[in-house]
Amino acid sequence: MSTYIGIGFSRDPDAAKAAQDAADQAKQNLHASSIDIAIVLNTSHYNPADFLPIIYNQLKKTRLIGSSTAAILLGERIEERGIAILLLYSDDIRFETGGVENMHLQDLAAAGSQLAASCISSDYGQDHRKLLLFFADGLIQDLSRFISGMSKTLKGTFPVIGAGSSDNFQFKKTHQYFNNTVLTFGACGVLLGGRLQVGTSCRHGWRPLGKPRFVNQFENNLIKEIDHKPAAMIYQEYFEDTTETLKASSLAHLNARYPLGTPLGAGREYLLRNIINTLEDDSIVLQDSIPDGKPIHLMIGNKESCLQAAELAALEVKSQLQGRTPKLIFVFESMARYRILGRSANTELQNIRKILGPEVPLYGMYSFGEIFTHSSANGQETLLQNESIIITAIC
Amino acid sequence: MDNPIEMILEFFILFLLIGGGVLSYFFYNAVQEIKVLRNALGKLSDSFAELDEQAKMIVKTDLELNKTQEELDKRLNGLDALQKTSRLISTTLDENEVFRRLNQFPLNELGFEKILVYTLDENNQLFPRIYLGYSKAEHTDITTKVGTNAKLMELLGDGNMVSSYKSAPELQTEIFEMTNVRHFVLTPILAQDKMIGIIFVGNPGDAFAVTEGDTELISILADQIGQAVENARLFEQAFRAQQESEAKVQERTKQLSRALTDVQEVSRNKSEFISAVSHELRTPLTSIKGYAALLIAGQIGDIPDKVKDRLEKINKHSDNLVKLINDLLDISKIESGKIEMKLTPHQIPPMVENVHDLLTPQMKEKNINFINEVPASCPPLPTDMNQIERVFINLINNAIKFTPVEGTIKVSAVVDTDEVTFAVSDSGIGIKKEDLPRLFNEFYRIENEINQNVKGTGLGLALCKKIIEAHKGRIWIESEFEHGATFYFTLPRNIKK
Repeated sequence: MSTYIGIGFSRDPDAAKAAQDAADQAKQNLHASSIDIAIVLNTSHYNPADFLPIIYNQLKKTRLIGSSTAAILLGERIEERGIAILLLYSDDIRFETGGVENMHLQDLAAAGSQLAASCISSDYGQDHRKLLLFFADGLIQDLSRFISGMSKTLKGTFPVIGAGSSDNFQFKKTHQYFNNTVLTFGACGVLLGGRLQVGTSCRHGWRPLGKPRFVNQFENNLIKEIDHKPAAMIYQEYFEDTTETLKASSLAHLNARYPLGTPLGAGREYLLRNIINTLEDDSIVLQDSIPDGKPIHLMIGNKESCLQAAELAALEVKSQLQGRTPKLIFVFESMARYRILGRSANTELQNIRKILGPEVPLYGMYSFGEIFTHSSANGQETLLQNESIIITAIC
Repeated sequence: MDNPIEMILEFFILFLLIGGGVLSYFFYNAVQEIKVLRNALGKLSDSFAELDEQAKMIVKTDLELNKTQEELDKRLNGLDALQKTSRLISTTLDENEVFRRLNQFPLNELGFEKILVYTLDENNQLFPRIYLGYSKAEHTDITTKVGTNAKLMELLGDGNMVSSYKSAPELQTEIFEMTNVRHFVLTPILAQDKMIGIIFVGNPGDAFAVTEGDTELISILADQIGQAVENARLFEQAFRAQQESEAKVQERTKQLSRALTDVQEVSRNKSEFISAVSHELRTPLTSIKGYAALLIAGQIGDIPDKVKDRLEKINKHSDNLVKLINDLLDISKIESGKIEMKLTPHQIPPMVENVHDLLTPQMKEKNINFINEVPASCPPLPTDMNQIERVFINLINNAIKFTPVEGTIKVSAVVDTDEVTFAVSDSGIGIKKEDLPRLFNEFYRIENEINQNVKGTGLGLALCKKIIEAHKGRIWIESEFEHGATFYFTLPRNIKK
């Protein structure tokens, strides 16, 4: 009884050749005659129409999910240009995939429910479900409704991890892949069930800065007033600049370092929210909604706090695995962290592997929004986070 | 108590008074507490305000720190990438390989999303080498726009860099319209102060504005590429020149080979001719000599003394002629390979002594001092004894001829690992420098007084040369006019295959 893992990567500038090379490498590294599933990641330098059919055919039409990303995490390497393919074959794990598209044209909760339903349509049932991993268009606002629809359908007590597909920091266009299809405003996922153990953790390392503030007027992810002032004023106050200047100098860039945060449960953990737009009336649009009635803070993080958070997450995963060595590590990490960590980004991956096993393959991406199932006194809740790192290990 | 109503009223008033007092007390306390709370709230508010002020300071410091850190990271990444590209492209001397390697390298580590690299072709047109971050249609469009912008090309051709960091706003707008990239660096690739290509790098997003460090980085990259391309082109030129030269050498070799074949053919014909003529001459000469001998011996009858003198001269000249013909025949046979050297080990010192004995009469005539310094330890050498003896005879005879009365002739040998070098030196008149190269030619005789008086064929040294070469040895002469001459020849210690 075994699980086989094969990873291939190519940075050839020609998309077709890169796809071919990566698929060949992955197959060669898999050391198995069959493939259960392929997880494809690519940077935005490649047009999916040029490489996806090649990969799909090269892998003999095996089930496939995937996403575009700002950079690919491979072991301790960070590849800012290339196509990566992870192949899995297992005697112990059962994989069920699903995909939805055109989510912007439909009710997001229904779309979430649809994705979840397709992932559990033919599995062995609730007891066998161990992990749902999915990619969703990170540029879709208010993904909470999608997540909520998905959670209701899954009704599970197993972890859900997700990554918002990203591009090259342009925030213009992302891609998701389901088999041979490039999804538009889509989501795709895989449910892992059967004989496997999962350890997973999500951390960010940001801490609150300044006084707590309260949202007075909001509508889903649109925040109109904070402390009875136009919402964007909070940044104006801290950065001592006009909102116009802040807008011009890319508020999105600033808020990646200084997102808004609201307490998560009763602990010291905070739910972070990126601002994705500032409107004419100085209202701010967050990537997702925030819980009602809780104080919000401007948050601050730095390299050290990011590295520390990643180490804590890795240690938590390790403790969940109860001494077992993982076979594969998935890392979904906020692209904002990549910018903050800079040259230390590799150190973060090295630290994770030091804790979880230097020989264990690590596969992941920089995401625009991280989705994770948090446990609290009220049970489990799957939430979209920003500036976070999700580390998941399976064995 | 008169009136119960009064009593109740009084009691009620009393109650009101007491209640009012108590209420007043509590109200007073509440007001005091509110005051305290308000005071505390004010302090808390002040604390929060102070906290926020501190937060603002932290943010300000953090922003500065992050900006510096980001710039530092960017510079370090860029330098790292530059070092890698330098290593990659400096180890090839093929221009196409330079760009193939750059294409394989993650150039975005330089910190740019869009990268275009062009070289100028022979018509000074832009030839795309690298295009990252653009589709083929996009980069073709940009190539046309940039390539046809004479003003821009002239600016770059003069070695100027254009960037969103410090170029004129209208120029920045122009580049933006061509490339759809707001933050960019456009710089020429120079080789020997001449533009051989251009590099364009840029980031469309506002989050990655170009800094001074970026312009320096790209300038260095352009220099690196320029140097690598220049090296590759120089190598290509040198390689082509070498190829042309090699082709010429090959052609010349062929010509020489043909000429050599012709010469060999002529030589062979000459040898055959000499051989044939010599044979034809020797037969009648033998008869002449025979008859002359019979006549001299008086076997045909007595002859007068005067006739006898003449007949003896005929006999003597016939002997010379026979020797000449024999030498010619030998040279001819050695050249044509008809004489095979029978190489068997022979001791050379006794051979030299034999030759000395043979030539002692001639040496005595001139009272020449003969010194034999061939060491007794000289190893036996694989030689054809008769032929090598002939060499010694020729060389010593020659020395006798040119050595004055009471002169010295010395024969010596130096034993080396592979060969033995013999020297036959004399204290004769020496040889002029201009005569040395032709000394071993057939029939060549130096024009001097001695040669005019002493007859010779001019074949002796030529024959020696042929014999020594047939033994895989070498022969040469060292001489200074009027200071004697030394003939050297070598013989291998082992038979060379």
